[in-house]
Amino acid sequence: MDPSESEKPQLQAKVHSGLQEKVPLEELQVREYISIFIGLGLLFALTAGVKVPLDSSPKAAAIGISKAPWVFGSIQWLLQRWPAWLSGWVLPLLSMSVLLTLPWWGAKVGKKWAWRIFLILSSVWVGLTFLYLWGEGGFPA
Amino acid sequence: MGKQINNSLLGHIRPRQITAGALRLRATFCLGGFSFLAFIVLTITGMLLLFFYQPGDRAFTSLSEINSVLPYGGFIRALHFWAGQMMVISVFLHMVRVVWSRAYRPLRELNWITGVVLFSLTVILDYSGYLLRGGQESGSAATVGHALFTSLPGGQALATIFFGQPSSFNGSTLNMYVWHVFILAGAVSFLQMFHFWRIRRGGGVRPL
Repeated sequence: MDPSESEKPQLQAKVHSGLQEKVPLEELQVREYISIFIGLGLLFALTAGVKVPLDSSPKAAAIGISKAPWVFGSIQWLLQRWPAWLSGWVLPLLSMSVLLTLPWWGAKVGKKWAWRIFLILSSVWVGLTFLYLWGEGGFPA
Repeated sequence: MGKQINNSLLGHIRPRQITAGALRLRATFCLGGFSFLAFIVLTITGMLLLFFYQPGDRAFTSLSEINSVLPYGGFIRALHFWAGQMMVISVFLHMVRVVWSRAYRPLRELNWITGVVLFSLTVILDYSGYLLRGGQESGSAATVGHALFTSLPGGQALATIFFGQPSSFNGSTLNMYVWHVFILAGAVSFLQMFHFWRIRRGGGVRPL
């Protein structure tokens, strides 16, 4: 056998093995259908299991609340302690600009510090949200 | 006929072959896909709610009727609510995964920016949906938002464009309804399609 002919097939197998190997799209589609069933099942279970109450009627006696949906709970928590210009505008916009420019400053500080800084930033906002929810006594639906 | 479909736009939305690494659960944890699924559920349930919901003074009354009188109205409304909350959470977790896998690196910076804008719009959609509930809680949330806008120079006009004229007992207004149902939802739809196209153009999900 010619040595060059015996080497060629082995070289091609090495290039296409592992994670870079190409598989038909159907392989992914099957997994996606399963995930859709699981995702819809989770949504339906939440819907059936946890009631979503209505707000207090606007015609009822005033209940004197200052409330925010949980997504803005962190800002609400800050607003209760710091001026509006800082809590409502500067801090959120600053955080958003740090996020938006991540590809650029992330390349400068390296992958470990990019991950750490992002984690600290996210943890602060998530932590403030939980602080607000804890202060309100639970998940405000 | 099959070949024509394959050669058309539909046949090119997705590649015929993908890398084996992209099949693994820990490539994406299905978070982006779940976010899109939640958006589809929101769109369908939102369109069903559109038939009976009335913004403004009748918001709370129409929601009460949807909840208690309309067959399956309460289910549709609750499904819309939970899909919204889960979408915010899944979009955030998707962002965490993207940062973890460093999928924001060149040449994907534009897609990263698109994703961050989508996250912001998702949060604002959640807030605007909360205001449309039309009760006292939504009124107080609208008051806080309105006050934030008016604290800016020239903010009164911005506040009127976004919030309309809410009362402290009812945050639902026609302005907020248009923003939530058409403008913000339309922007999210368009940016999602752009986001998916950029992923496709960038060669798909890179195996970890």
